[in-house]
Amino acid sequence: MIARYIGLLANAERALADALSLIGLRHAVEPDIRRAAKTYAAWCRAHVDALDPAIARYGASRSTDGERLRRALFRGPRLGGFGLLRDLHDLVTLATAVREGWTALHQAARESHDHELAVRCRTCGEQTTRMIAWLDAGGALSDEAGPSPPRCRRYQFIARH
Amino acid sequence: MNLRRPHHSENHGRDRDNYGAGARSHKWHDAESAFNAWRECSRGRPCDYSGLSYDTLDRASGIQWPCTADSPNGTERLYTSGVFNTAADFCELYGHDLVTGAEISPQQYRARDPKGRAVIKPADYVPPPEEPDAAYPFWLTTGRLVYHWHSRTKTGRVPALQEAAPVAVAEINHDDAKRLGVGEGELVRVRSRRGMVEVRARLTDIAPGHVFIPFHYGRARFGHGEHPAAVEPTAANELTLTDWDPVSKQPQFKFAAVCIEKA
Repeated sequence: MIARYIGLLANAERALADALSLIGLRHAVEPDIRRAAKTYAAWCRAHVDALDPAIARYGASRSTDGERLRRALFRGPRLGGFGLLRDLHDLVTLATAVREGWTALHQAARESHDHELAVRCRTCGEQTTRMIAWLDAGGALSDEAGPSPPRCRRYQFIARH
Repeated sequence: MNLRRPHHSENHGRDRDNYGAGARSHKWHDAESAFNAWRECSRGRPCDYSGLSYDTLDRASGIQWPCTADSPNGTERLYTSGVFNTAADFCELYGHDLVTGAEISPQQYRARDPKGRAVIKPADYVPPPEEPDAAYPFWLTTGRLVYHWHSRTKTGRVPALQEAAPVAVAEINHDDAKRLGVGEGELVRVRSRRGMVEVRARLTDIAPGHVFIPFHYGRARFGHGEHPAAVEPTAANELTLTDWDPVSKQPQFKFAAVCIEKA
């Protein structure tokens, strides 16, 4: 089970890194998208490296799940503001799949009393959560009247184009 | 006094619910009543100035909030009790992730409610988007001269100031200038991946490998020249990056990689 999830995660993180790099280039005209995509792609690649000690200990089954998900997403014309919105939407889907992988591996590591792997899973999973928080437009669906109403910056793209 | 007012009369003077019930029934029709309405909004909030009156505004200056019944002359020093305005039920903002710029959600904030303790946020080092290399070996930084303000719309019309700094310059280190074969006052071309300027060299003790160009000089030169609207390539921000800090949105005008050559 651990070896399967390690393989799944490595594949999904690589797929997410590739998708982020593509989207950073495709929407390079938006400086914050370009910068964010570069930052997050580097995070994903570092997450793949973070799996190395676990691969040495448990091995890794071959997985193509992340790659197949990436190919199913990001289809069709993706130009301009609406295209960007669709790309970000797909990134949330892929990043959420990655985070679920870290959550599952974290639980498995804890059950195996592998403290070192559990810490790595938590660190990587938390970073993925931060990425999703950015992609997710800060929970723009919330109507809650809090002190800091979330800006619906994502929807400016539709309004602008 | 012209105030923007909602069209529906039931909304007159109403403010957001979380600013306290006092503000909701308050109506305004002139500057003083508008001030009073806003003062009520502040009651009980971190920037409380419920102790301030419209008359005091005219009589004194520099009253520091909070100004309340307990501290009618304002508060000079904040947080002397070591309690900060960070409690989840009291704070005004939940803040941001410093690297991604994403807003911290109410749920996330509540999960780690600082309850009055100060918040120190760590962030990983993020390298600049561009660093000097073989093709663009100098660090460019931009800023102000003591004689001018922003684009000189006013200071450029003050003869003493305009004459003190009449043209755009690039501050270059003496040793760098020697290597480039550039003398004081000579025209240099400074290029980045985005654009170029042609400005006069000023040799100074600036750190080697650095060049400073003030951003006061746009493309158009005006004032005392023979051609008041002549276009000259002197706009420092032709060289800078189009990027900004994810939280503060401060543009990245302070560093870029450039090369320098004799014009």
